[in-house]
Amino acid sequence: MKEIKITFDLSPELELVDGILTLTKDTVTAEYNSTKIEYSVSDIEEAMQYTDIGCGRLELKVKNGKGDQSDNLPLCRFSMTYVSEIGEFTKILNHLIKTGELTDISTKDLPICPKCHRHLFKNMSVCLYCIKKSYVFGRAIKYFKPYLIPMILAGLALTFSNVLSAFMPLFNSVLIDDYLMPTADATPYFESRTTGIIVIAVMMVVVFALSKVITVLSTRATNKIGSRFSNDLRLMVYKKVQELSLTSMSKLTAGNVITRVTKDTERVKDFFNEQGRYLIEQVIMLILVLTILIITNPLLTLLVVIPVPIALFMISRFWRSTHVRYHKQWRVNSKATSILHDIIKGIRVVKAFGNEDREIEKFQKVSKELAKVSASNEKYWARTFPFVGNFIALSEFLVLIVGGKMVLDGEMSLGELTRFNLYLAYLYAPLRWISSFPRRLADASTSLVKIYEILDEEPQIIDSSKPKELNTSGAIEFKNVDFGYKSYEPVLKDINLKIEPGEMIGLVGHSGAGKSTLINLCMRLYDPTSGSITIDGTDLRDFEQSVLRDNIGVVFQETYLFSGSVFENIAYARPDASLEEVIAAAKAANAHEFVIKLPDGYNTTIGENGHTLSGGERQRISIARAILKNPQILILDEATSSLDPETEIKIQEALQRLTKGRTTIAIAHRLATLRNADRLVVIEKGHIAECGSHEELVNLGGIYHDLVMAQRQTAKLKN
Amino acid sequence: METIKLSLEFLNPEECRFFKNKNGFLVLELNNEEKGRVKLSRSYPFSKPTEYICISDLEDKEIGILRDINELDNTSFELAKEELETRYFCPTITEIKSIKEKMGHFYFETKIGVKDRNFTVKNITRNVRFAGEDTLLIFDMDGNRYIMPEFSKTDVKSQRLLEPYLY
Repeated sequence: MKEIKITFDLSPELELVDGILTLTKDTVTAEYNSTKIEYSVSDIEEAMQYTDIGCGRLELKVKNGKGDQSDNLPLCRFSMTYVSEIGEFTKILNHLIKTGELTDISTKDLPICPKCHRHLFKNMSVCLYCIKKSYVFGRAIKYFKPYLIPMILAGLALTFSNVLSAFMPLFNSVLIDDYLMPTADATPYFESRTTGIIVIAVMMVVVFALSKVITVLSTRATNKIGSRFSNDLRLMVYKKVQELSLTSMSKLTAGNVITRVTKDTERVKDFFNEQGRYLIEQVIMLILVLTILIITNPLLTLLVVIPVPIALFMISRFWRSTHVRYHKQWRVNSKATSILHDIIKGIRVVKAFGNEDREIEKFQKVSKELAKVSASNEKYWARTFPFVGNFIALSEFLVLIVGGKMVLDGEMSLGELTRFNLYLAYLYAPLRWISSFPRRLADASTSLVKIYEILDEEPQIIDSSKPKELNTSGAIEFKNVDFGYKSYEPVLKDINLKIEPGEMIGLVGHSGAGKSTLINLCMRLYDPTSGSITIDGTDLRDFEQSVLRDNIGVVFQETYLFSGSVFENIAYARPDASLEEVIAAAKAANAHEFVIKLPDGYNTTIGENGHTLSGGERQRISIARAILKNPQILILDEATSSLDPETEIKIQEALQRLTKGRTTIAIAHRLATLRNADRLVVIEKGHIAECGSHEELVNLGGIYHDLVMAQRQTAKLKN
Repeated sequence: METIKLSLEFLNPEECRFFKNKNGFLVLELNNEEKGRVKLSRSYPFSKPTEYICISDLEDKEIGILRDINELDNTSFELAKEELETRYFCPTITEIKSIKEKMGHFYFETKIGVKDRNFTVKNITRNVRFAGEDTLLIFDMDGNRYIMPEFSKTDVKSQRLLEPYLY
């Protein structure tokens, strides 16, 4: 017999348990420890999932039960970890109750890592806990592929430049052993010692200069490659951000998205650009220098190599603890900055309430903490770094003692010892770099994963593969529409509404009733969970989003003006609009009268860092946008709230011009502003509670009647 | 000038009686009148878990506020306390076994009583914070919350592991 099983984790007393929910066609069972609760599906009217604080409950509403749900049957409790699983289970159970069909659980909405059983992060197809760095970088290499060959060439050029500079100690040793202090078995190329010294000095200058020129050229090339790569990466992420639906975007804050587009892409670029180049250069240098050292003197090389693993271990431990310490300092610092930011921004409030002393004390406390943390870090650095950073230099002393004795015993020449010591210095740079490499690798992989999080997000609003043409008359119909931003929290339930072409509908209801959600669905910013919305009988999902939005104009309560001129802001709705059309639209929106008073007229820069417009002025710009767009369907979301009466009259006038002959859906808290509506629809707790004309609804004596009465009372109080 | 009274109207604890119905749900009887199934909410969940308790019906319509559930009769107090404790799930972490950072997220391995509990914290700066002088709160990526009521008295290892993230 088919059964659906999922787990849950809390007992009714909220103890952590390993519980199992089982659903068959006939029964639903919850089992934990030695307790078993079983109910017959035929007795249940609906499964209801509730969220408490940090936990949730699944209850079963019995058939013919009381309205206050006091005779619900408690099935199980669970922590928020299981909320999605229980949500899926609830859906299946309700589907079974409605249709008698037991469907399978959809794993799409329950992404769990098969290896560690942790929940996957939203938008991620891989588990960030189990993911291998090879996957992270392997994938990134794909993006870097077009630049890989130029980057390898630049890295090789840099290596060549370093190899050239590695000749310097060789010159030094020849200079000492053949010309400055010739040894007994010296075979100088030049007979004159002065000539020899001059020629070697010139060669040293040439090699040095050549090495530096190659370094400059190679660095220039890699910087160029880096800039192009970061540009590509930034554009790729930004493009994806623009493609994402509102559901996906609402999961991320604006700051978060901005960081990903700018900082994370930059960090990835730095890693590939800098570290990629160094990887080639430092590894080759390490091999080369070690080979030279071994050839020069194997015994001394051994002395050099012995402290290396200890030094590397110490350095990497040191970096790790430094990272943790400085990260803490960064956090305290950002707390101090945010307090400062708060106080400076809200200085009027601070002063008005006479709270200066309290704010000083608050800042003093965090500032003291910052001083304490940074002093402790400085102390740690000063105490530890000289020891850790120079531990490796210990080998220099060992080399000096053993090598010095070898020179005195005639087993080694002075030139050879000098050369050895000089090459030793060449070894430190790659070793230091290798010790800090894991940290850089971790930082880059963190940024890469954040970028993948955006790149991997599947757009939830997808255009149909065979989109239909839209030349709408403006007839809209909601058919059995259900919707919830989260699968377990329905916001709209069973919405059925037919709007005729040219009709004006006023949406009324308490805050949070679902009015804005309804218009969001109408614009297809979200898709309904079930049911359909049609325009002229065709489902919204069958139109291309851009075509659909070309046919819908919107005036929001909050008008966002972009940085640019008044002209550009009005023409945002239709970038091809002529100068004349923009003025005409502004006139119809009653915006022309204030724009023309501005010294720069339609060329006035507004938005951030520009001229500040009042709420009413912004609103009129927004109406002008909608007029310019000339859509058949119009959505007004609280378009006239919080305005003074005079401005409101102007806006009402403009809106009347705008709505004439268009299908309009308007939300307004001030019921008087909906007096022109043909029909009013009252939304209450996600349902359509009442529908009709103003008079009909007042006579009905229901929610609308109460709202009208409440507003009249408020108006009286104001007067 | 009329002074606005800044005092709350509390429910009379002697007139309030809680009991559980046959399905185990909390029901209020106010002035001998049954008000049906009710929901209790804390005004100050961390600092005053038993005081200023708001009673509402399942539609979130407020019935009234209790100054302190300790003023109720014994049975009602026990039931109200139990209801609050089961509505607010914030288990106490007894030990932090490890905190690993991977790809910018923090993986906690902890012990809650005798049970192991592993969870993931995103944005550790925001999600590990003090509520009061010595009470530490941790919020995980799923929306669970955990508490360490006397942080300075927890074992040294747990303190040392958390210390870098406490600002």
